[in-house]
Amino acid sequence: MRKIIAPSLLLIGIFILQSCLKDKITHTYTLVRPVYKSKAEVYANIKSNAPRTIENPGKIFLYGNYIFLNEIDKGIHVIDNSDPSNPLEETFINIPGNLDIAVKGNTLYADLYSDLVVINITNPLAVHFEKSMSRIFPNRAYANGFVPDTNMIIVDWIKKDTTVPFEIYHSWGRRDMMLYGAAPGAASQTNAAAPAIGIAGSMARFSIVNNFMYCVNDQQLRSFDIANSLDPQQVNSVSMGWGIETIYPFKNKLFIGSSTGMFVYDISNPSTPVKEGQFQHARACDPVIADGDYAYITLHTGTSCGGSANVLDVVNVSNLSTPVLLRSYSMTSPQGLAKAGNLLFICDGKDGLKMYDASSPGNITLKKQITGIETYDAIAWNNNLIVVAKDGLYQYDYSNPATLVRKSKLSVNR
Amino acid sequence: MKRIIFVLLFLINVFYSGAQKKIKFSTQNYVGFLAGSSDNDLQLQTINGISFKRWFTGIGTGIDWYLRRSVPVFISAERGFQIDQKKNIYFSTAAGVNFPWKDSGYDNDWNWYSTSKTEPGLYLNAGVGYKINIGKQDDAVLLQLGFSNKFYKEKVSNSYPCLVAPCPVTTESYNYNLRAVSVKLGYGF
Repeated sequence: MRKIIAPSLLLIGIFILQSCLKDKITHTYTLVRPVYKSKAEVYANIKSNAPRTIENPGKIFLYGNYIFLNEIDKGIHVIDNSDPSNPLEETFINIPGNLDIAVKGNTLYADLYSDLVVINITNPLAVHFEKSMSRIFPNRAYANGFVPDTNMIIVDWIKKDTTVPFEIYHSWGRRDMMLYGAAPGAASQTNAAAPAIGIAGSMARFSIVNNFMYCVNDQQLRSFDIANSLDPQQVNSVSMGWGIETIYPFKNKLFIGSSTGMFVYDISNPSTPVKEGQFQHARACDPVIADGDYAYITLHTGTSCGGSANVLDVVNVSNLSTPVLLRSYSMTSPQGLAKAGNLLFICDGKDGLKMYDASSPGNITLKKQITGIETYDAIAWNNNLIVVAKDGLYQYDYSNPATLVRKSKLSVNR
Repeated sequence: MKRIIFVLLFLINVFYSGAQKKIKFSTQNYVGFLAGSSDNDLQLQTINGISFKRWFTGIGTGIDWYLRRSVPVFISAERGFQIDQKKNIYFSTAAGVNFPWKDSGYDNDWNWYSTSKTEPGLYLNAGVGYKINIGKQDDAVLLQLGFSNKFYKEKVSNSYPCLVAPCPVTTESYNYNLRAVSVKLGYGF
């Protein structure tokens, strides 16, 4: 009898103590509340406002002596770049939900969440709103679970940290089956585009070729007739599958980057792009540029595209109907890229900026690497390399192909 | 403060001035079961140190699978009370640091949207044990009922789809204070 007393007491103790015990887990997250304005108010504020600090730089567009720098989801910084060693932030155009920019003549095109807005920039320092086209980018939902409203636009978010108890449902299974809700949830110097149209970075989703503008959203390629630049008319829409990311014009072709490959569209008939070729690659984010017989595609992981490849793919596109991989080069986290003559510039994420001699595309060689900056996208034009990085907008002189000389930096102020 | 220093010096003096024969290397090795409000799981522990009279102190480590696998590293102290020639009851306490294991669930090609970083926290354990000597030496079977309390923090970053880096990232944090009853069966000498 005594032999079973001790084990019995132990078992009773376990169950008594277990009922008294409770894990204490807290979950801290940020609650966001949208700030709305009417469309009329937002359109009225699409004008040249006082310059503001650069906080979250996005895509870039070079037009004449001006750099248009996207402030992600906020608008566009207008920067006078007459002297690249001393760029001046002149004005800021408020465009909520803005990511992309394109310019032709006196007209700037920008996305405003799912809409396309047309802005008159005859005087780049005194711009004004001209026109809006609804639901051009239907997949562009607001962040944080909010969706576009027909009359109101989200212009800001109020954030507040909140801590709440976190419950784990009792189970005899493993933890990863129990934690419900734990995870929520370039341009080339040889670009065919004329200077009057401007030059976009390789991450662009807008592209202008002569009197047509092409826009890609997640699944479609849309063509706009912009012969009358202030009154664009959508003339065509082509379904392309999913994961469409970037667009790059070269000669009478459009090179389109998607998360699973590169598509080549012929625009001999500019209003009706026709698919001519395709190159498939592993799933990854992939801006693409082209030059001569070769296309350069950077594949990177780590953001939203998934996959496991961080490489530069050089693809032979001399036969556009059947592009062939020439060679893959291992990178760290390559994103935007630009080409000028034989020089290839690659924004390799946290590995900085890399300059390659690409005179032999099958054997490119690293000439110069600038570390200590996290780079996203670049435009190379007239011996001036404009680079968007996490901490600012850099400009370098690449006239000496052996090195890169920094001219200026506009710092981010978070 | 002076009192603490005095007590420490006294204890050191006790250990060093005690008969050298009475200080010896001891080890305790356990396999255990943890039961709490969120999970029921296993633990492995080894504690190695010195014993002196009825006292045992040592450094311990192991693997604790309760809710999330972790490696506690701790200092343990024990005091025994003899029942008869073969049997003892002992009271044990331990305190140290709990190092969470890296969660491989966040580290694969398809889970690109979330990353997790953990921070170590406190580890506490207290219990009462039953020790039965076997053989002629000090070999013993150990049975212990106790309370285990481990802490750690976890930061989860979720990346949202975008074309322009840096993609929007939200960060949420979890603060874990995990309490469980532990039943351990072991062998020591």
